[in-house]
Amino acid sequence: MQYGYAGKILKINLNSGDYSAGSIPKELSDQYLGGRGFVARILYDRLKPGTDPLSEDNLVVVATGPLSGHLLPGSGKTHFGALSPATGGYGDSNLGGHFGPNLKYAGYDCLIIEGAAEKLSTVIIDDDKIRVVEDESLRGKGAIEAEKALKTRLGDDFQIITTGPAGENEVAFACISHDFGRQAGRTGIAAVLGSKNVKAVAVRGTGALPVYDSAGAQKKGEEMYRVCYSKPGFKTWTPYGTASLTDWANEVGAFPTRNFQSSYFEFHHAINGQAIRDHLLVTEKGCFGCPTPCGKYGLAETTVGKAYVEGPEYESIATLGGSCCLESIEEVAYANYVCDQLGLDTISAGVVVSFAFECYEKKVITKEEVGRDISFGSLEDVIYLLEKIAAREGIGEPLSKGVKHAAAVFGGGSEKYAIQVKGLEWSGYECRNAPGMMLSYMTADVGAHHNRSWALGYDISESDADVSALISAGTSGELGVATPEGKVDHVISMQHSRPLFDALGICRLQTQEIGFETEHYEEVFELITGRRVSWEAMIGISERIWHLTRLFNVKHIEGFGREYDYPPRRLTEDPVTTGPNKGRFIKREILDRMLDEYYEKRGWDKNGVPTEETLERWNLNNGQVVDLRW
Amino acid sequence: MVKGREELQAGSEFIVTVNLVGCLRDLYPHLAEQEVIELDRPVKVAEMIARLGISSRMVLFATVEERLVPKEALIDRSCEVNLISPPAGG
Repeated sequence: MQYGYAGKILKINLNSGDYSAGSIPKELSDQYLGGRGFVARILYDRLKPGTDPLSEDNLVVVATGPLSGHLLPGSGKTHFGALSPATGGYGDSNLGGHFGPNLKYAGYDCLIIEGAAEKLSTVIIDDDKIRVVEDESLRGKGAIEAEKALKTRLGDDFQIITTGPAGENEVAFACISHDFGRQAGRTGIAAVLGSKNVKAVAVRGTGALPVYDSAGAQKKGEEMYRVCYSKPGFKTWTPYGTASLTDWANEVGAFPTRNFQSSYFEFHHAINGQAIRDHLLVTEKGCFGCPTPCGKYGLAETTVGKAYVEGPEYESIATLGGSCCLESIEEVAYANYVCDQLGLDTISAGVVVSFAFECYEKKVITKEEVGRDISFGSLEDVIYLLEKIAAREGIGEPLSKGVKHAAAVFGGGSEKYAIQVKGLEWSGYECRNAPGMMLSYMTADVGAHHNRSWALGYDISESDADVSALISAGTSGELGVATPEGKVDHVISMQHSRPLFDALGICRLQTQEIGFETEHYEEVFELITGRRVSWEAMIGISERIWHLTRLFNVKHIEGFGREYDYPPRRLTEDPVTTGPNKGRFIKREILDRMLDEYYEKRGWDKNGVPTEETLERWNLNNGQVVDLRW
Repeated sequence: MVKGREELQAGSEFIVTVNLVGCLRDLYPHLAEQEVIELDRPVKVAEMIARLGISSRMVLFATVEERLVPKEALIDRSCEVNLISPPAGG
């Protein structure tokens, strides 16, 4: 028995309908902790080079962490991973809610789904009773609609993840949905579920988790909540959540606007956190164990329709609002709702739709190809394209594979405004005056995603040469030019610390946003698992995982290396068109300088491939695989 | 820690306890989570931010005694101020 863990990994083979469960190998928990670590190691070991992401040979791995499901702040996180159909490389995504804790209470830290079902199916895990149930009645249902139907059928005590029509149709940026508005959004894991004919996974767990020092862990957990409640940031974080970034991102010129042509959206005050409170909010909503509920559940009423929706989060505001130029929070929220029902990642969807708008504006694609006129700022056109993409009809077919693929189909120089890295669409931060954030996007293992490193704060804070002058100018003064110096260390440090939370199975927002000390996690980890592991040692584990996911990409993407780490040419050649950073861009030479330094500090060669010494240091070159045969 | 009034240095009129919230701790590691400033005259929040060496752009909200205030607000008495950074990327 390993304290803290439920103890088992469940494998379900959809070809045969068979399932089996085995113990977690100790080397797996020792060297990879759980969550993201389990996902990365299992995928690396078990997927062969040349695997088609949408074939039955791909796997979907769902993993909780050692702290998931225990009574401490933010312990509701679950990690999902697969060979990504968006990038052809390592893919993972994370969600809160209640699914992971229930998976553990059912007895499983990790679920591996292999093969493919013959018909559309739901996987049901009811403690130790496992079933794969064919159910064509759910075909075509929206992700939230399907969850509601299954809750009605199975009972409210089941926690359910679903896919929408986009997942069924294998759209490269289809997302997993849960709890009526939480998503594991990125890298297209739901498309992999769709290729396996899995519409949903429902879990109900009623068991207990083994805890090394139960009384001590409970006492510590209670203390952790008290500490959270006492933090000065507690009261200011919850009312606005991530949407409070909107005005700030505009003031510092980092808000993607008009498909990243600009970094300032003149209607930002109409789509900010205050607008959510004024025009949408019904209630706040948190995940399992959350003391700081950042979810905003609201009602969006537009001329097109009205709907209850969770969000929008900042990222959705940036991509559906700024990048597509929707000018009211109701419109952004409604577009968010359409994405949620169709099962589309709002980040990629917003970038793909705004890319289509720009291609149309620049006459790269025609009215005949699109099927109608389309333009920035039209909610009707956003919805039209989202529905085409989810159905993979007409113009939706090339767009359904993401902007990199669509640009290759469209031609006409459109690759320049396909805003992505490694095939994954860029999330909500325009970077032409933010070299640290640019490097974060370039080197993130899954592609252009912000959650691995958010170095934007360093870019902005260090670009102010004269703080007093800026203050007297208010927030409309001209920004200093951000420099790349010193950014590499910040990026590397964040790429270890932030993903570590995903390996532990906890939310990082309590630490990141309200200043909750990481020492608490060390202590509670010891009380729960009986193992004393320092935060520094855990950071080391996170670094091992980082090298492993890079190796994964080397293994699965032919010719993978430095060329895969560059942003599109728009960001290195075209100046920002309006706003505080008007005229700015970062030359490719500067990116090369940062990449050289980054690779050297990582222990990778000049092509970005981990060296033998690095692999040896992290015990990644022994040719061994974690034994999951049982 | 907040100093008592009896500990104030000669010439100081009041003390302000400043809490750094969010990524400000990472961005300014030389500052503590809670800083205490002795003031001998009323100052604007913005000036106090500058005195700490923090970029005004990295302060999303400021609160005085838990009430949101603009950066131009004047601090003219002993109080607790929270400086809150933008969320670090969600």
